[in-house]
Amino acid sequence: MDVVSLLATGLQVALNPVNLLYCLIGVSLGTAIGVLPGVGPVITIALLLPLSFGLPVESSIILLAGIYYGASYGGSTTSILVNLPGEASSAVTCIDGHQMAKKGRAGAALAVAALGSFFAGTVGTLLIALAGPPLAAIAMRFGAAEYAALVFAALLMVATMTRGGAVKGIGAALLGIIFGLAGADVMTGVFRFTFGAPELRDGIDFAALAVGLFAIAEIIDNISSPSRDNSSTSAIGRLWPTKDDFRKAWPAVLRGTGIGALLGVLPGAGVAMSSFSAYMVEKNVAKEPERFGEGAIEGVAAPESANNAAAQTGFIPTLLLGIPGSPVMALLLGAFMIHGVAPGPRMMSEHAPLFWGLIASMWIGNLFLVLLNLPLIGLWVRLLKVPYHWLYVFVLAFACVGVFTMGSSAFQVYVLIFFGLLGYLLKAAGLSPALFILGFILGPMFEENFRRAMAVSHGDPLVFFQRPISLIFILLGLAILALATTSFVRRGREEAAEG
Amino acid sequence: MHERDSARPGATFSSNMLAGSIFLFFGAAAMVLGWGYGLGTMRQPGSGALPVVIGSALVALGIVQLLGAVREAAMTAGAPAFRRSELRPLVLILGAVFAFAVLILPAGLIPALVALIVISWFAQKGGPKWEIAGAMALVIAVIIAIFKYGLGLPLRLFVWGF
Repeated sequence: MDVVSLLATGLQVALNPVNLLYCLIGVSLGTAIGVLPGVGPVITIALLLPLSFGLPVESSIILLAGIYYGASYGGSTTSILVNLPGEASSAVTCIDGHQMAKKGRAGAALAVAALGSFFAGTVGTLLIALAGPPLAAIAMRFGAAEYAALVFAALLMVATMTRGGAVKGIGAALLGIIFGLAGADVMTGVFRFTFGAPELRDGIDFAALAVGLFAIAEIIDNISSPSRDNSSTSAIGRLWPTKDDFRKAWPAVLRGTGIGALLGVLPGAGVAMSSFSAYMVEKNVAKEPERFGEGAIEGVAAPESANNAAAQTGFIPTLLLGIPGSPVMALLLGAFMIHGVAPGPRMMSEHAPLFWGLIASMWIGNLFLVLLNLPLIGLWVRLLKVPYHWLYVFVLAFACVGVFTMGSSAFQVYVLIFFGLLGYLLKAAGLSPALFILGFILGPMFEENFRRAMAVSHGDPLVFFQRPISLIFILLGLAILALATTSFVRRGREEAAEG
Repeated sequence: MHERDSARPGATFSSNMLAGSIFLFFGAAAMVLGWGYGLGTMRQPGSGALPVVIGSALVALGIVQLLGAVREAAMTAGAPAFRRSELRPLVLILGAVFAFAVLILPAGLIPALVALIVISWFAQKGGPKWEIAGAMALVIAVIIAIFKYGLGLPLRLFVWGF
């Protein structure tokens, strides 16, 4: 089947009224939480994981994915109007977007952000559809050794790209792997790290872990940090951009889309880095770079397109290889697994309606966002007035009830407390909970493929170096590690010299 | 994410020291427990093989991290791992969830949520006390609407009721 007919199958799934409704709920909820400070897509998706049990797999994934890309729209709205990025990925939009708002051009900035995002989202969706089948064909040829090496390289890449240095990054990922190994070992039947609790035999419950690590720990962190002032809402002004705006914005949208699409695929680079890079590129190619920071429309168009393109192409490694590049993708992967669907090269053929339905729904969701968000901006901004007290009390209640209903026993709520505490400790130690969760997901995958590769090679560890693709991945991983440690050592020395 | 305030050199348990300690603790635990699960052979790595390997890597990273942190602490004021202002939210939020866990089965959903909301409300200072009632009514109503009626989950509102 060619891509067009596959996309048509996808549209059929996505246009099913029930799925359309979940898509709408997803993007609206996403926008709302993108606007609200202190609740992001990671928390929201984690909170909804227990609920997605009850839905058919297509609907629940469409809902969760909608939250993810809806949040980036919401984040840009508050960046522009009140200089408050709801999401890390829209932080850079504040620079010029809020300046535009101060000059009474908030409407134009919001419209360009929305249209640029829609364009980028469309391109991103098309890219997944076009690149999907050939990439899956390549990935299909991966054996156990290649997979183990790929996981190894991906983990090292993500771990070294996070702030705080390679030691902390790798350590956080390794810690996650250990927790990921808990439960009955499928190969030997040994119960690992279960401490006699029958509830732990199937492994640590992913939803309880994610909610504890993100929602609970985040609430503790938000409460203890000084409160923010977010009162300076400006007038929105004329919504439709001028001809001059369009002329300036479209090349920026194109460049932003390209950069975002490229960086989105790389594990660890992610959405935040893509919007920042796109902004820097615009500043460098601009004829009058001094306009940046004073309300240049390119400074809104490029990062907003980039983060949306990256948000879409981030699905490529997740869906085609089963390797998530960011915490949100790890959570979505977890949601697939809850439904017994293993993302990977086979998913496209074995779960064709799900795969193509998700892709089609992302495009529809992006359309919803343009049609809904622009006219409803006033409503979204009013959400900023919700006091944090009400918000966190609700999140806590939702988290507890959601986690409790998964097992109808208090056990998972205690698991929630444990990971809330662990999440707090990780934060206090400057360790990334996102890396922990990637390790948690990828650890068992690594172990399974590693063991299979060893069995196939009759116990010869050289197998990882003899197969060319596997060798490339391992060398890539080691090169990234070497690069990170040397720059880390250099930075350490510089700091020591300065201190 | 926010910057942690710094203190006098050498006086505090720094954020970096905590990271090293976490690595050492969990790394050592994984090694000891993993050893008991059996290492297996090269051809058939056992259940304990990966825990022991990952655990020892974590211990090694922990040592590197701790040594670096101690050296850093001797020279400059590192960011402290724990701040006094975090104690109250930590205890009250986790305590609220604990209260929920204890009450949910013997008492039912509504008493558990009331306890959760009352305790967690005081985690953040300065919450207007009279608002608790409003927040409680709203949150409980929304939760019941979503979970009990929306999703049709069998939740008992009161154990002695329905």
